[in-house]
Amino acid sequence: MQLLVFLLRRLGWMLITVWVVFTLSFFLMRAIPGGPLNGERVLSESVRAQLEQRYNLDDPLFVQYTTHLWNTICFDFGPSYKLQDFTVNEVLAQGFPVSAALGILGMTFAILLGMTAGVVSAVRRTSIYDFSFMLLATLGIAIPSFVLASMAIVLFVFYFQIFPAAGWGELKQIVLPAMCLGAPFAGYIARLTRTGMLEILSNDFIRTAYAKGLSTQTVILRHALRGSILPVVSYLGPACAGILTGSLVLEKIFAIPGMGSHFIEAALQRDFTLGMGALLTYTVLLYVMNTLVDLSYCIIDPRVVLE
Amino acid sequence: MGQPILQVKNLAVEFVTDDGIVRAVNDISFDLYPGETLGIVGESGSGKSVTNLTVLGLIPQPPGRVVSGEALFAEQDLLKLSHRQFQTVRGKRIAMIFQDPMTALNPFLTIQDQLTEVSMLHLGHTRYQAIKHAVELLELVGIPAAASRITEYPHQFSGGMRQRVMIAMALSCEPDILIADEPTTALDVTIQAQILDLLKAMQDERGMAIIFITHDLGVVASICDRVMVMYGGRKVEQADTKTLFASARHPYTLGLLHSAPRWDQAQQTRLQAIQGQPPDMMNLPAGCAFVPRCQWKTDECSAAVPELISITTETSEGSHVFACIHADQIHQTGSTSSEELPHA
Amino acid sequence: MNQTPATTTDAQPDKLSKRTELQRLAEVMSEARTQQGVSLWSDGWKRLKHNRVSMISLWTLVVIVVLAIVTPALPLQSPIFQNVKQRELLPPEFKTFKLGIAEYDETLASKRQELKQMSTPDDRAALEAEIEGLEARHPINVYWNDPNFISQAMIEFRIFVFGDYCIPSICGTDKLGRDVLSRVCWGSRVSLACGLVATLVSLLIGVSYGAIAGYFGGRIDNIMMRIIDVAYSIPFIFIVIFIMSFLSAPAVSDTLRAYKINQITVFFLMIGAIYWLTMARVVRGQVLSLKNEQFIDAAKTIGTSQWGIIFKHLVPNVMGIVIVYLTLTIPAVIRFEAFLSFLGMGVQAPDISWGMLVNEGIQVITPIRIYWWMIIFSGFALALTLFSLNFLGDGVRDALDPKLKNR
Repeated sequence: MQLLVFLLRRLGWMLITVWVVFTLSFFLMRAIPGGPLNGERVLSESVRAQLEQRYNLDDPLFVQYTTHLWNTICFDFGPSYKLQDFTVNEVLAQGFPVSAALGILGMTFAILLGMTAGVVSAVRRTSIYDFSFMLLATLGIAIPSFVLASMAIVLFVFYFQIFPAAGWGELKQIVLPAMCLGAPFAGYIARLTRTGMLEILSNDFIRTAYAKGLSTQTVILRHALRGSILPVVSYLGPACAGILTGSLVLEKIFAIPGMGSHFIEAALQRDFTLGMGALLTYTVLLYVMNTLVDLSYCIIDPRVVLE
Repeated sequence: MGQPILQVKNLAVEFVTDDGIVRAVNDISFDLYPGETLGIVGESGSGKSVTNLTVLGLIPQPPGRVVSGEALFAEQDLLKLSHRQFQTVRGKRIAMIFQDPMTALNPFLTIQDQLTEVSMLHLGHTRYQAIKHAVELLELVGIPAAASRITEYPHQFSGGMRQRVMIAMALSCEPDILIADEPTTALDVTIQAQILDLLKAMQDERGMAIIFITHDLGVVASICDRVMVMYGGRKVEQADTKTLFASARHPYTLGLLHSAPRWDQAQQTRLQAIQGQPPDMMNLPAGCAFVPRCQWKTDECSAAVPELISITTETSEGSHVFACIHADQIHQTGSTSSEELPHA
Repeated sequence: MNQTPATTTDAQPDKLSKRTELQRLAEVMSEARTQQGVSLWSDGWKRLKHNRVSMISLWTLVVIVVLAIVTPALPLQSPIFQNVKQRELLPPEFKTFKLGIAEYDETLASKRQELKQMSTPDDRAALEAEIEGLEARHPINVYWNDPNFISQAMIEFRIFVFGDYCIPSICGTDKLGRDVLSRVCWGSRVSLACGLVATLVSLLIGVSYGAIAGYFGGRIDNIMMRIIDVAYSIPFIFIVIFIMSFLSAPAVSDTLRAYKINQITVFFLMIGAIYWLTMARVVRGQVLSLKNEQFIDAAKTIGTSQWGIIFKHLVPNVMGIVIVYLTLTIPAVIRFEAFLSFLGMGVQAPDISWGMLVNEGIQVITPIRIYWWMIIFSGFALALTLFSLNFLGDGVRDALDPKLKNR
């Protein structure tokens, strides 16, 4: 029951958020000179005709707004500006699964690698493991993903020739981009896990656990791990956002036909319908993921109450 | 009295900190006999907790360091045990309960999880047996509706209840020794009385020895058989309870006793606090650590650390030791300042 | 205060009545004075100094920043002058390179001499036009992109001291024949400036917003935090990308120039506008919890004014956590700027930033020939800066954390 109320309230705020984003972009599109609908740009004839028909550019602003809003609610994002013969829906539908696969793989890699490294570093503090893991973690965090990807390509594609350079379709082609995407997050998660673990280990209840005669392994895995996951779970929200933004560059570098590269192309080519459609999709995605993170936080920490 | 089950000899523990080396425990020795309750009294920083944590090997070894000493239990020196060897002692033969039950219990696990793991580990219970055992224990320590409350989390219990849960956890495997580190300090007075009664009842039932660490003389008077007073990381007095309260010899103990308000004093009496500050454990003075605060100090006191003097008491309950060179004179003349002492 | 010693009916006379109340208090005070307290900052600095890695990072950053500031005064080649025919994609080399300013000045001077000796007005006009043309195409205007007043002075200083001498292309050249080393140096100015300015913007907005919300509490706090909650869900990064696509349109940049707003400045402001949210939340949380601390009550009981409480007690206690978040925000901002420039939406030519340089490096990757110097040097500069910022940030955080005292 409490869960239902929580979800409903979240849904409400999501609608508000999406509406704000929509309104913002709508007015930006029309207000800024050189924007899509009042710039002196060359549009192909068919697109121009479609646009004029769709957007009723002669109608008063308010009418345009409401029609556009209604269309959006019905998930009709309109035709793409630049890609003739494609509607925005079609482009997004094609790109979304690709990006999703890349993102999920990257995130999984980040969590698994990061948490393992973090736990080992915390338990074997100041040892060689700790030092090297944390060094690698900082490397992953400090080096921007596109620099990392560039260097990775030079190394693994050209010198060592293990992976193919670009494209999408085979398993081989996913590995390098997913690893480059997940690397900064793996680093961050490793550090968070380590700090969280160290902090938990300094708590009194760990001392109690040892006083009961439990082995180190039991204390770490049973008593300490649950609490130390919390900072990682909190981080997963921003991490998801980061994976989404990270995929933008990586899809460009590795020529992966996902939603990210379409969004960037739309931005560069000033394809506003596509850009706005992608923007709204990202907004919804992020919101859903943040809600999931909040839910899982409650599951892990029994003291937290859903608000 | 018989043979002591725990013998601590010349224990010294220090901590390496950024600001210097802290000598928390300096040359402590004591014995613990089966079935008795030994009280350890002292202010914060006197080394009472550190002593007992060291016995159980719970001091993190950097920054802590056991400089010297031994702790003999069941024919082993506990200080020489490896971590794995300790696992057969901790929880099973020597159990410890801590000061703040809120932080001492794991907030992420249910009471059931935390109780059953002890008996499953040490007594080889199956899960079913362990749960049954745990419910019995909870009833024993006075938790109402134990069977249904056992699946709750620590934050759903009150302070007194949590401490009872801790006691249940400690008693789970019927240990020979229970170390209670200020278990009632964080609780209010009425709950305190209940917990003390509970501990006493458990001891009577099971015949275990209790080391009771506290700074509260009232608690000592109610449940301890013998008392050891610590100051500046050293033992400064030890006697059975009656003797201590009736005829304490060391100036610090005297100060403690006099500073407690008494119901038979007149209302306008000013309370006598012990003047001065607790010692800086990084820079202990060369001689007696109590010198800066002592009314009877002479130059001899600062020369060397006073040895423990032992006398037999009027009662037949064992010896009375104290570490003060002027103790006899203070006791006999009943004086309250060093000017009145006959000087050597 | 009543000074008479209490009379007692005790068996033991109260010896303390020998000394007066005042003397006793004076003793306590002098004891307290001899114990030296340690302020958070001096303790933090002391602990930071012990942290070797952090100190190395600190010095690295100092060197990088100083280099960035004095770049115009360094004997570098031109960062923007294109020379495709002769210098395209050269690997790192050590051949000497001359700016050619001295020569140019000589030519100009000789032309001026000629002018003095000219008599006919027609010839004079032609020669004057020629001289004007020469002045307009003077190397100083061509080699550097519209330097501001201070940079101009530094460039002139450099010419004065070093003359024509240039550091050779030890980092190679790019596909338009421009020297990579000088581009990396000039790029550092934009990347670092962005980090600083944008962070400052986010700091100002965030701290004020958070402090106001936290201090006043109640309804105001509620509304302000709701706004932040909604704002948090808005993917600002994507919005910025969306917006940047407009800003590069010619009509827009013309408008901006008309209002004398530098496109880079808008860029910095927008990045700052993304990052203030976290700062505001954190500051508000801290202020909320501090408000209820006992030391605030204590301050109130001795009569501290409301402003006194805010500025003498709340703000200094917030500074610790603000600094911690600063150390997280600065590298995040620099990285975001690089990210946008990499995508082609950030800094526009002829301005340079590290992100743009890495992008150029990626564009020339082919399986046939690897122009490694195009990526390595700019990538290394970016990575080194972010690395040092991260380590320094870690060190500062650890130094200010009371739980980590004495490890």
